[in-house]
Amino acid sequence: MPDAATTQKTSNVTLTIDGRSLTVPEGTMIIEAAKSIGIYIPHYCYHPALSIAGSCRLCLVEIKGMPKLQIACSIPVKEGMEVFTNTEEVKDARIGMMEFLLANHPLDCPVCDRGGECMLQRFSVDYGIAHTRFMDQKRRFRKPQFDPLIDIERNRCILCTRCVRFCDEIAGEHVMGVFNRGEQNYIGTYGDGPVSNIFSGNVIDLCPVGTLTSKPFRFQARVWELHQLQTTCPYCASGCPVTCWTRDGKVCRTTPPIRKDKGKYVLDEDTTEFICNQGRFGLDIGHHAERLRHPIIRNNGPDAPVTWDEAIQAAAQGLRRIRNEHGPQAVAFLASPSATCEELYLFQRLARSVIGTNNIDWRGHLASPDIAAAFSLAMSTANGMLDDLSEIECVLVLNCDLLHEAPVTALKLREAARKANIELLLLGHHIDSWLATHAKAYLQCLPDQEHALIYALDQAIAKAEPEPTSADVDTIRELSGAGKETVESLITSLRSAGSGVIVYGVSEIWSHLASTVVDDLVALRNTLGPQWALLPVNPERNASGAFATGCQSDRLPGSGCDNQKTWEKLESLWGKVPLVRAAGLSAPDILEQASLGEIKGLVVLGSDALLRHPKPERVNQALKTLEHLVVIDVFPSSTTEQAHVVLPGALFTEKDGTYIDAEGRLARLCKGDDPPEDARDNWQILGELAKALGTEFPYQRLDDVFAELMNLLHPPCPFTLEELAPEGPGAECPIRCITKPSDRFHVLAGKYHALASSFRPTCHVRFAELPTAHAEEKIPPTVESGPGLILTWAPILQGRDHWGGRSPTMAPLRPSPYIEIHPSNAKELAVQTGDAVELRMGELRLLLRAIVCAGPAPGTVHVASNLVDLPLGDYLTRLPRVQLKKVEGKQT
Amino acid sequence: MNCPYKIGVGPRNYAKLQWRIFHTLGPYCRGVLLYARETMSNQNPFKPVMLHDVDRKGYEPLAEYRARGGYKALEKVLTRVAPDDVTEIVKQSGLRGRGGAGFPAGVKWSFLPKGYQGPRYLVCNADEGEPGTCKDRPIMEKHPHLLLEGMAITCYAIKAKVAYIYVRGEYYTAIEVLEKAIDEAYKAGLLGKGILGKEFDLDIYVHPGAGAYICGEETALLDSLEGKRGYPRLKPPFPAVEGLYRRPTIINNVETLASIPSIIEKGPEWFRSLGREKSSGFKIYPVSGHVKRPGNYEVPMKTTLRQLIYDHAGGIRNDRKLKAIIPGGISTQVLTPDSLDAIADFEGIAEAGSLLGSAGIIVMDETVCMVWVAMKLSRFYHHESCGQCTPCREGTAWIRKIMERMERGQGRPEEIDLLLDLCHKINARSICPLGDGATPCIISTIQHFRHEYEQHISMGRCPFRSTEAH
Repeated sequence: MPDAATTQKTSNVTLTIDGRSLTVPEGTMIIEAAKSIGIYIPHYCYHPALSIAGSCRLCLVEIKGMPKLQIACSIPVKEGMEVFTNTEEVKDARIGMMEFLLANHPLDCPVCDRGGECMLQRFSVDYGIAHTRFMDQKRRFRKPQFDPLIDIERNRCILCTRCVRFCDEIAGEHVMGVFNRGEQNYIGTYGDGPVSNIFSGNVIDLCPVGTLTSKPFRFQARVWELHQLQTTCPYCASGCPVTCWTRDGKVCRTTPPIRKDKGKYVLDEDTTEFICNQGRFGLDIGHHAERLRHPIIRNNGPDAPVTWDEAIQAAAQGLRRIRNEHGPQAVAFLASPSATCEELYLFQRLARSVIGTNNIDWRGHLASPDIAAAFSLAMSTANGMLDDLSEIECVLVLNCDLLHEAPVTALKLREAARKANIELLLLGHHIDSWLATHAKAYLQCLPDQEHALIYALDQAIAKAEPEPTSADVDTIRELSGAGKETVESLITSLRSAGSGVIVYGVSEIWSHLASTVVDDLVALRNTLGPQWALLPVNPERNASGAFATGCQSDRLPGSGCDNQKTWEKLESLWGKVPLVRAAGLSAPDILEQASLGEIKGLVVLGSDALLRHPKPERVNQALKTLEHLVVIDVFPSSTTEQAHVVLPGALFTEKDGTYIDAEGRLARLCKGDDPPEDARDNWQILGELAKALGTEFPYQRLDDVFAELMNLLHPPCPFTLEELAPEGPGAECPIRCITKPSDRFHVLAGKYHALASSFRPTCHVRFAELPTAHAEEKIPPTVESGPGLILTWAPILQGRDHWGGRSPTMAPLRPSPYIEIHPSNAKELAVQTGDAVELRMGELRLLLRAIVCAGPAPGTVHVASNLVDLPLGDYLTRLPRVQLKKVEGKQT
Repeated sequence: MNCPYKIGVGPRNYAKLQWRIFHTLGPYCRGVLLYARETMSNQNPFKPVMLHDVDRKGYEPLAEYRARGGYKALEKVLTRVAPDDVTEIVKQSGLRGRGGAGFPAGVKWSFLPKGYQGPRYLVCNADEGEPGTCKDRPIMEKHPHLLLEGMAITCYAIKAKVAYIYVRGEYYTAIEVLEKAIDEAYKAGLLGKGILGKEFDLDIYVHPGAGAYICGEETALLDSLEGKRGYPRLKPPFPAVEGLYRRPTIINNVETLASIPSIIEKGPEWFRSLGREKSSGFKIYPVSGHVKRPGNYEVPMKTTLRQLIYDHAGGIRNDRKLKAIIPGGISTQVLTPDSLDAIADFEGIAEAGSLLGSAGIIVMDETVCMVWVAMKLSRFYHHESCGQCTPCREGTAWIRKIMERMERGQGRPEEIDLLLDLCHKINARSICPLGDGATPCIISTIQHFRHEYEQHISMGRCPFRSTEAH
């Protein structure tokens, strides 16, 4: 990232630093050049991801021919430059700066949470003087109201302004600033409010001293007592690597991944990897009081804890009975897209080879099979990656509130757009207003006209003329209401970009149009050329993994091989058992068939997907009708309450495994703790269940499962699970196995074949047409007619969730229910951001906080579906119109 | 808004003046706001350019200014001289920046990127904040058109279409006068589109500052002008390459710009002939402190300090003994009477061991305690440091704390050397020159008057406490 601007330049510059000659790209700052040959120049305010402040003056170096010392962070290298970082004068300057910084710094290291990883402490060892010459009263500040999760101690501040610059530049919110003047300078937030952005926690890591510290971690432990667990964040499909700092297995704090330095893992203040608050503060739920700790068998009586043997036998017995009495098709399996790849692989093996059914799916949160079909299409045409944004010229984001669905992906895109490395274009009925500030152009349209807009764009681009024709532009303008220049610049950007990625949020593609929209997007990509890729973003962490491991009714594990061969390969792998090739049911159909009584037994691995179903009553109805329900889960839920057998599983910090993120990167989840009390690791539970059902899985260790799964994928992963671990061969990059794009390991189906001419999935398991249930939902999509604004919705990451919502730490960060209103509509309603508005939908009245932003298209309003209690499930075929009214005198 | 000291310095106002100079080198007074009724002494054969008829009532309106040949220089360059030749003339004249650093104005203009197509700006630095300096104020209040003409010529030379005057916020009268003068000029077709019927457009805006000394530093001034917190910027890039709104920008002092019309009119040779080789031309010297006739004196740069203090300003009041001279605003080293014969130009003062700076000469007689002076000045720098960079923010505060104790007689013997060490650690290591400017007063008072510091420590009080000056 530091050299992002300089890598484009080809010319190199040769200079000497402390007598050592080196060649670096032109424009590199001395501090980075020195770092590249292992000379560390001490600094506070310099950070490779932020703009140069040059205010701490610690990085002063001597440059031959310059009368004064110069700061290494802001002087670019020049040909023949001679730099000295260790002369007497430089040392004198550093000693001087350290003395100035320490003059007013309180001597409270013993109670400071930064102790042990403090940059002041570190440089004091090298440049501090042991006694103080400062004899006067130290400066003191009042402790202000600040942030619910970030503690501020201004007396310790050295005014490096890293936090201010981070908020301004990277988080994009001008919330922090320097106040007062001179010696009385202090940092704070405007109006003493909280640091209100989703990345605010990063200022804790960025702070080189103990000014900004984590409130949940306050006085919990000294950092050197903690064990570092290199793992990956389980919350969204950005798939950030993280480090959990644990003590006795309990997660005390989470930071971006740390690197080994001189045999020790230390927090790197100069890390350019940032994580969102959900990942930083939300991972402390392992020891939650509500965890499921014992297996339960429910026989219409009180729940009594039972032994594992009894529970497993009861679970297996019920399944075996249903299979014997009603055939294997009466049993179904629903997995969670938050389970690891290994669990998902075993789960579908359990279904396919042990029970003998293809009724297995992970999309329990989808209400209609049409959307499920669109998901299949989306996943199987996915080939986009945003890892190396320097190789991409243009990114088109369709309908995706990336900031709230995959925050770190949004951060990367915004940074690239801000530094003008990519052109960012936004499209759809709901765009990410946070990204829009750095977008080159954006087009908005009504929710039922997206496919038409994409088709019109496709047509305009497909034309051979160099300039878009006015007819095409007019069509697009009619659909989007945008100006001529915007439309033309968007088309020109799309046509001129040599390579690009179309990012789209699958959770915001509206119901029955889903397949059409995805189809149109595929067509658009084909028109744009082979250097363009599609990247659907699922909010779920391991949706890609569920797809790749075959945890889906119409998919088999692996990819790149045709139907017959895959079946045969699987049969030989799984003990020569003939596999049933009959059609399986997708999740919406499973629920439908269950409520009709056709499906009698159901195994649920993690109930979080089902809990997000838009019509909970339909799920409840289906589960109630079941004869036998087995649930493996970590927290109690409405699903576990209906279960006949509950098997307590392991949470992400308590198990090993792998996740695959939206871009197809494989990430290792590491075990740092044992599951509480009787709870067990999920893959062992599945093994025991298989054994009880009469087929013993041949895996000794989880590595065997991983190896088998990876053999099925194309190309095969070069590492074993063990090697992916932090101490393994990939220690330099403990989580992401390979970093070079050319040899990056892809797991997602179609990724390597995506650039071939046809994007129709080659390994898509085609089953016979399914029985047409849901007849009432086949009616064409509409928007309710009449006055009012069209309501659209999508879930957000910080919403109420099966796990993440349970973190007590995250509670103050959860946004209050809000409604996004386009400025043009807000003007009509005389509503401003922060006002309370009353939403009327039929008989329903709801008080919401208004956010006026460019996110929703004019004429529409947008809500976070997992923050509000609206009967959105009733609106699967038509979007509702709502009336808004400002509530006077109320500020929310 | 009238300044109480505007009308000369009679005996009645004398005590107030002292108070003004020494007690308030602090929050709200950063300059000595005074004119002397007699800006010219009989010994000065030079006919003043910028202080012409400076004791007049009100400002010189456009008609009057034109009647005595005003805007002729602008007309001349617009009709007969190419922009680059204007720069060449100014280069030849050897005009050096009058704001303090003394950088040759013409050379500065030629740093603008060649062939740059986008907008470029001229900014007039009228944030005259250096204590002891009040030379720009009479120019703006009495001869605003001289400044406007100088700006117009400069804009023509550097091909700028927009110029800003960043005026110190306390200069209410100057702001009012400039606004009025700009209105007049617009009406007369001397500003706006197609000036004097030629293809030259110029808009000038007045922007009042908000009272921070640091905003006189050119890059902090740009930040402030952009509406940001006034923090000096890192250089490079220099403003000539990336200045206001990240466009090429030339920043010149009021006096520099006001000197330009006369150079154009009378030629660079005339201008050179007034000074010495490297410091050419004439200059306004504000003389304040314990002199009989404090005021602004516009003289050729060949003049010595002795001439300025004894001839023009009438010598030390009550015929006391001269003790110390601050030759160029408080950011320069204090000189002793030994340096009286130094020529008051850039080289002459540098040879004497100080800097010409803004040429604000502060004269102190034998009744003044130098430790007390250093303490007052350290308070000023502590108060005005913007706090952006470590050495200046922490160093000025630390020095002030020591100096306040020192003046009370509570210093420690080793702290005299500590002060020198702190000054050494601030010097040349801060972002902007404020840090460098905060140390000379301490270093030079210790250098020349170390015994006074030692006296304070040994006596446990200020030895001057009972004297008249306090």
